[in-house]
Amino acid sequence: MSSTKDQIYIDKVLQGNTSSYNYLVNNYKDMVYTIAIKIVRNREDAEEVAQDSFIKAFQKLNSFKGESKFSTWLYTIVYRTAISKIRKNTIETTDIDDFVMENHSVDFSFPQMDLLKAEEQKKYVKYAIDSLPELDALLITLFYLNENTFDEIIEITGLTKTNIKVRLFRARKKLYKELSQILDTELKTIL
Amino acid sequence: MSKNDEHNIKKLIQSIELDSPSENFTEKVMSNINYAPDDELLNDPSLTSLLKKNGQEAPSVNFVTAVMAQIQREGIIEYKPIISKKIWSVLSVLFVSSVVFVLFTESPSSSNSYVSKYSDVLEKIITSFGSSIVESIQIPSILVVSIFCLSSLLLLDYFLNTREYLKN
Repeated sequence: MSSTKDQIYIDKVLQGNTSSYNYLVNNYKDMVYTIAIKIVRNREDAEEVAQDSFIKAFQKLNSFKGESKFSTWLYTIVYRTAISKIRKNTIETTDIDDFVMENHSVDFSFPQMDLLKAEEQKKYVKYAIDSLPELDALLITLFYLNENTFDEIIEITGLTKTNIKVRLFRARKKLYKELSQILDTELKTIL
Repeated sequence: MSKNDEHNIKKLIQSIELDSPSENFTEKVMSNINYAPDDELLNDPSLTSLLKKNGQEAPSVNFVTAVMAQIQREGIIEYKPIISKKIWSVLSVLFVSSVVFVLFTESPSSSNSYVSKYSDVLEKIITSFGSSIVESIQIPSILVVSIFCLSSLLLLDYFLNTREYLKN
């Protein structure tokens, strides 16, 4: 959706036409919910985070200066709301072998997928993404699904570009490994 | 246990070699620290297409209704400044008019110092308001200068903020 169109509806809301916000909620609800669930890992909490984020965005709409896209500004609120929901003291650890950077590319066009029903495909992709650490799952979602730029992801998460790139690279590799294993196991049971 | 035994045990433990990680452990760590993959390497149309087809989640059916119902209750938060625009305008007019008044009625000062010259002007501004309390208090010139500087900074801050606000 274009930023200009967003701005038209934002202006309408700021002029007192609250129902115009309906348009923005409708257009961004899926991505907002997707970001929330990648972090909180629970449908009920994700729904609550998504609702809270839209309400916070509405209340702070006055402070949206239009310097970045409305979606980027909104996703920053979602990210912070979700993080404060799950705030925990555990330290994220990673296997040292995951750190190895190999310059080989992986191909996600799994031919095995065609043998599965659409619902099953969704289930396995979701399962593979959920196996990643929360932040990596979010980065994969923003970069590959929503096609956000590095600058936008930096604004949303506050991470450095190098950190984002390293995490994305590692997460993509892990996602491929996970998905290959799931599909292999699934196909063995089908055949 | 004697002190000698304790020393021997310590020596024995120290003589054991430390466990070592894999041969290329340092390389693995350093490659992660120094290496950031190229943007090109991260571009992956196959993953984008897989996620676009299967990765999007959707909230419950009545999500929009729930959000809109809450919004009707909450309303947009209006951030109002502690000192309103009107009060700032009145203060500015008072300040400027008193400065003008004092400058036009100023008597030649015997002192050459800039600080004492301006503090005299400011003292005159304060006393010109006619308050008997102010008149009865002997205000040190450094305090007068401080008040003046602080007020100027506040005014400057206000005008800069207003400019920033109008720009947005």
